[in-house]
Amino acid sequence: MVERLLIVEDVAEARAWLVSVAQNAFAHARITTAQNVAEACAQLQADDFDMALVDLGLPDGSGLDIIRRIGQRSPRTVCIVTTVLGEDAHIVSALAAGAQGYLLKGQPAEQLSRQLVQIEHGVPALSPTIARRIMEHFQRTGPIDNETEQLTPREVEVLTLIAKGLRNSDVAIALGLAETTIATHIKTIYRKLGISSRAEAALHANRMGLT
Amino acid sequence: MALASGSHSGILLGIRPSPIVILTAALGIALLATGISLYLVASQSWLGVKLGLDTDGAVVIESLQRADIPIQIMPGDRLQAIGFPGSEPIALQPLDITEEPDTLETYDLLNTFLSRQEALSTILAQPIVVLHLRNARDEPYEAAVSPTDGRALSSLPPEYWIQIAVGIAGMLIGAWILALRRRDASALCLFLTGLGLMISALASSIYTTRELAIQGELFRVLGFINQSGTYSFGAALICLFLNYPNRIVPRGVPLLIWTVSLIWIVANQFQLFPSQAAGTYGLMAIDFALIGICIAIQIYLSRKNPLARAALGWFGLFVLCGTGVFVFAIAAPLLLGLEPGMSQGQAFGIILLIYVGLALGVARYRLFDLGTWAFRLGTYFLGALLLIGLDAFLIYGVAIERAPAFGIALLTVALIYLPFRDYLGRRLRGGEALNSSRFRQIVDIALTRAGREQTGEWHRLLNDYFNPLTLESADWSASAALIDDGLALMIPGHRTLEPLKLSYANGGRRLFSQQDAERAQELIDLMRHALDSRDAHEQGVKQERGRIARDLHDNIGAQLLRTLHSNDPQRKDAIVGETLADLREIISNAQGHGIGLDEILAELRFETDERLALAGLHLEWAADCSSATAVSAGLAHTLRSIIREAASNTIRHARATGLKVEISERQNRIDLLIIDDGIGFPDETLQSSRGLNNINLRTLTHGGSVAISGRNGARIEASFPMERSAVNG
Repeated sequence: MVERLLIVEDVAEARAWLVSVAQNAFAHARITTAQNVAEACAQLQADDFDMALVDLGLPDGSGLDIIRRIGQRSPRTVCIVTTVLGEDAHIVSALAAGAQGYLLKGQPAEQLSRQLVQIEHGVPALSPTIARRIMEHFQRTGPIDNETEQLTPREVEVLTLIAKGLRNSDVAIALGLAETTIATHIKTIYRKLGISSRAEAALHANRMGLT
Repeated sequence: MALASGSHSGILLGIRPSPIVILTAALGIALLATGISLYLVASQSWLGVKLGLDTDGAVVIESLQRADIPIQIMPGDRLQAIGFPGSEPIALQPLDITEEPDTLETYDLLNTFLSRQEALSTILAQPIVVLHLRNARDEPYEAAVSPTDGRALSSLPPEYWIQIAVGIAGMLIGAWILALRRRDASALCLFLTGLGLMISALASSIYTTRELAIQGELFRVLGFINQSGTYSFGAALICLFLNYPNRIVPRGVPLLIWTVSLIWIVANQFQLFPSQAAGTYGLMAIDFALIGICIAIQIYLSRKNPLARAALGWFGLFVLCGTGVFVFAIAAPLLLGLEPGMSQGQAFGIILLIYVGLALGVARYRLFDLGTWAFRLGTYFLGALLLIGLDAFLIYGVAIERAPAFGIALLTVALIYLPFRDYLGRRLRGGEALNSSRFRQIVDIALTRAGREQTGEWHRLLNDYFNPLTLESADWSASAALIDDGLALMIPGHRTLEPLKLSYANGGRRLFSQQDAERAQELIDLMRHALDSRDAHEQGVKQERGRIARDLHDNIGAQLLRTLHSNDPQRKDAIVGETLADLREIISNAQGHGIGLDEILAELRFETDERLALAGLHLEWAADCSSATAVSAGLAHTLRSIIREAASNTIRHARATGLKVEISERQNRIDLLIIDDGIGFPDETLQSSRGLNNINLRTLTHGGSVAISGRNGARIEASFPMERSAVNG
């Protein structure tokens, strides 16, 4: 159950709208808002949250910093990126930084609200375009050492079908799996994305002769 | 390159010797020929005196070359006759010390000369020779000298060594060119001139430097060999200029020239000409004239190719000077019945000019298409030759033991010749090669704003490179080129850089070489590439900006306008949502990802499915598209608008249970079919519905066709021409 929710959003109207959407999704949640990185950090310091909706472009910094901070301080908190014009590359790096899903603020309220509920139930959102970018990311990274986790063939299958525009339920039917299994695969992919992004950083450092 | 192909002889023998094998073989021939000459010279019996003619035309002893000569013989004493004990002495005549019997005017004189040589050499072969002399006070006296069995090499005059050196150098330089251009008929001709020169020079080296006499028969043979060599030289030189740079006569002509030369030699040997001078020097004069004519014709034929003409002029000048000295100093006076101007040995030295000119021509004009790299082989070989020569000199000339002599020779070559060779190599290569710092400099110049600063930097670079005395703007030129045989260098311009003329390379200390022109061409090519790339990049940026502006205007602008004029708040929200999605797409497209049709359709399928699922509807989606197809932002937008509009209609009005979307790609068209199982709509709705109107309009503006019907559920059928996206990630 989501009881404590943090919304970080700099545009006042969008913040109010997000609060109403969240209220709609989680009727009993206590919602705290922040309008920049500094405020968000202060809130994180003061309280523990079950979920955080974080906008990426903030006046005093990037939402990515907040996501990383949450990942270090309270890994239990479910981090969701909310973005209006989120470029694919930014979303992928947010997922790699530890976000467990993302939402596009341009969608109708009821759609967004439904996605929030789904996330609470452990079904992360993943759009075809982002699935594509994630596959590209893994292809680019490649195996660096034995410890680097690569995607399993099943996970690649899931990503491929999602990239074709199939929804989770359709992917489940196509692969003959339960929809919850698909959700687990997507969560694993997100987790591996974080690991692979650290591995990628290590690879870059290695290439630049830093290690 | 000719290196990979066989020589004329190589093809005949079915083998393909490498250049170094050819050069080594040539060196072997040269050493053998030198060995024969040295053997013949050294095995003559030797009195140990140097004879000459005094002003009265009498034979005098010019100097003494042996320590054990009777004490009363003094330099300057006249040698009147020689004999041996118990025989009648033979009185000496000026004729006997004629250096080259070819210079004798008549055949009678030649025959007398040869029979006297035979008689004199018989006397010299005796153990004791009696010299009949007159001393400075004109008092006659006799002295007995026992000739040694061999002649000391140190007594040989410089003329001997000049002839050996010229003969061998000519042949080896010819072999050098032949080794690198084995397929080339002109290279073969050149080699034959060298071979002829060596044969001629080595034969004459033996008899022109004799002490007094050698056997008549040997003399006759040597004379014949000498003439054969000389005429081969002439014939080969004519053939060379019949073939180089252009072949100007049928293939049979060279054969004719060789045949005529051969007949001439034989006829002269049988003394069939009116005079010996005409028989010997007539052909030489004819050859010389023919060579001059051939060179003139070749220069005329090369008039359109300045470089070839300059090269030919250069080489031709050296050939005419080299042969001309021989002809004018020796042949012409004799033909006119005058005394020759110089000794034959000295004249040979001047013939070497031809080969010096040839070597310089290769360096300066890529004569025979050889670059300075040809010198690598040449100088490498010259080093080996120096080593052998120095070694031999130390052993036989300075009388040092073999082992230390070789050590000294090796050390000398290593310490003196090799550094000299390096220095020469650097001079020939001329200046630095194009390296990465120059490359960076050029790119920097290209990125500098066009104008005075850019021009200044470019001029500075050229100044660094060629250090010309002057650098001035010039007329248009297609490529970097030498002017006035290298006095100036044309640098073509490009865009904002004007063409330039650089004059007097390296502060006037040298001429511009062909290599400079090539290097300048490399520089300007790089510069052009850098400038064009920069322009292309700017062009690309401009195009991209234009595309983004167009997309913003066509899609976002139009949608915001629709929102502004819409009274339905729900519809407003929907349009704004779409607009944001479009904006996302424009931005992501600007990242260079491009829009793949399959990617657009995947997003569209996902989005539509989500919306329908929310309303409890089922989506059936069938897309048959190639993954590689990229579409324009406009078409992507049209597709998206139509499917969204149709889905909205179905969700809101149709009371349907499902929606079916079929998209297929065929022959540069995209076909779209959208059907629902709802209640449909009456035909009037087609006119009144803003959404359906919108679908109609969008399809038409995109050059497509559309058919909408609501009789049996909603059915939208559209077809678009596919324009490929300019930006294809």
